Amino acid sequence: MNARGENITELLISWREGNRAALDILMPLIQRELNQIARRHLGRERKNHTMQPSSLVQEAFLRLLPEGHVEWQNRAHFFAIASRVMRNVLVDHARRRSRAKRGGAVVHLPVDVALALSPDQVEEVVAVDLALQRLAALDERKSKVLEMRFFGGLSVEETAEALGVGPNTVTRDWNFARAWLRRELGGEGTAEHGTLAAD
Amino acid sequence: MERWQLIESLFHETLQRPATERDAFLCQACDGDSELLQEVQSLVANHCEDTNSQPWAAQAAAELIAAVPTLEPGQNLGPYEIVSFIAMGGMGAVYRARDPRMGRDVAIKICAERFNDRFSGEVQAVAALPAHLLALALSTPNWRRMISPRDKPWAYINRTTQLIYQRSYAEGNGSANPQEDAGLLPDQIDERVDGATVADELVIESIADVVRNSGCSTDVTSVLVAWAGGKKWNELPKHLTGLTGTNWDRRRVEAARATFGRRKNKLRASAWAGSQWKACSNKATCYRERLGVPWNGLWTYFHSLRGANLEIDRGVMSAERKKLFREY
Repeated sequence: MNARGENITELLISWREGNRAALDILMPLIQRELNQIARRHLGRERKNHTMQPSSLVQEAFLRLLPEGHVEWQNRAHFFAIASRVMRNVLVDHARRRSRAKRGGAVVHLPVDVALALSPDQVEEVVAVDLALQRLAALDERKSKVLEMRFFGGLSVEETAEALGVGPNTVTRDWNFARAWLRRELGGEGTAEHGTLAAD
Repeated sequence: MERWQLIESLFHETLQRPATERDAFLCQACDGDSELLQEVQSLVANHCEDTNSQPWAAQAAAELIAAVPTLEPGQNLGPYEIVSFIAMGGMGAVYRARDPRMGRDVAIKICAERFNDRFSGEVQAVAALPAHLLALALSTPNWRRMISPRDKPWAYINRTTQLIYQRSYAEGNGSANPQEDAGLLPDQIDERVDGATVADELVIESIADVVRNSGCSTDVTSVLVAWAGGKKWNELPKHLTGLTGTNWDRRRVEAARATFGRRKNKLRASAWAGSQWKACSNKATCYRERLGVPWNGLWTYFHSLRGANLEIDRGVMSAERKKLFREY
């Protein structure tokens, strides 16, 4: 494993042991890697292809921790952070757009935002984020499943591997958490534009 | 927590039953606890069967992560100094910038990488015909008149780089008196542009500088200059465009080809320029207000095609065209 991989492994272990400062160091490292990979994907696949978010996370993982003998806990934590990074990017962006829409000062938005999110989705992202915080207080695992699948784009199998549980458990968590989230976001009939019905 | 687990357990057990049996099962399972019954019923009502599709949020997050880096005030982009962010759209972000050499503000649009192909096509199209003649025309005392390489005068430009199409061009009967063909005198042409500001050879030079200065502070390696202020393609007389009002570029070009035959290359360039103008004009009012300065009628497009070497310069003009131009 290269020096960067060792460093990230140590940070993952440190975070797992409760060191919050390790997370602060890890987040920008992983975001930078995701950023580079995403741009490369978009550059290569921009003709009639869409980038798969899960492959983005997987590739970042393999690039940062290339040995392949990583403990599942490290993998789980890596995927959790990658999903968290993607969630933060989306939520920050949605909040800035919401502020701009409400007539706030001109804000500096990244390019492509109009394509990335519709106005309905902007509001929904913020609402989902708040709901996920509430869900985490009730059931942290379900909150992670939602975060990894909804924001990180991981499949059921990837999420199961990352969390160290079976695919059936993830499916059950996913079904329950989605129903709970849809209800929290306005209930049946009001989520047509969005979130989990349209995924 | 036990209640939470109970709710989850009932939720899954309910879903395993046929829809017709769920209510009865829940009533029995909740054993008179109306709050629990309501809780589980509401969750079941919001259950969605589809579990395999790709969540849109992850895709959107991935696209945002891959977005083109933005510019900050004070950053230099070629000869321009970024002053502030103005606005953004689906195609890119627009900035207010200062050109210290000319002492005036310009608007710069940074385009998203996804549009690289489109802009590469536009660069080639614009480089193919009128823009080059336009550039040369602006840099000479004889700038009012632009000459087609096929020896027929076909358009005028004015001080804001507007193109005013000449009827005789489409009809193929250009005479020796281009002013009459256009139905306008040059002085009248200037009056028709709402007193817009002067765009002289300095503008062209500044553009050329940007192209030469590929070592910009961002990934910028290529430039497309689009001329705003031209007539909208779909506002041209129909006998010129052969169109019936569609805005779709491809149909425009194809219709133009069908109408004008061998002049297709020229028309393709015009169609691209027309569509570009349209894109600019949609937001021009907004940007003009935010800039708080007279609109220069000029847009400079950058995009981050790493390693590309697309250039707009004067070198591609053929010797024949140069000769024709000099003769005029």
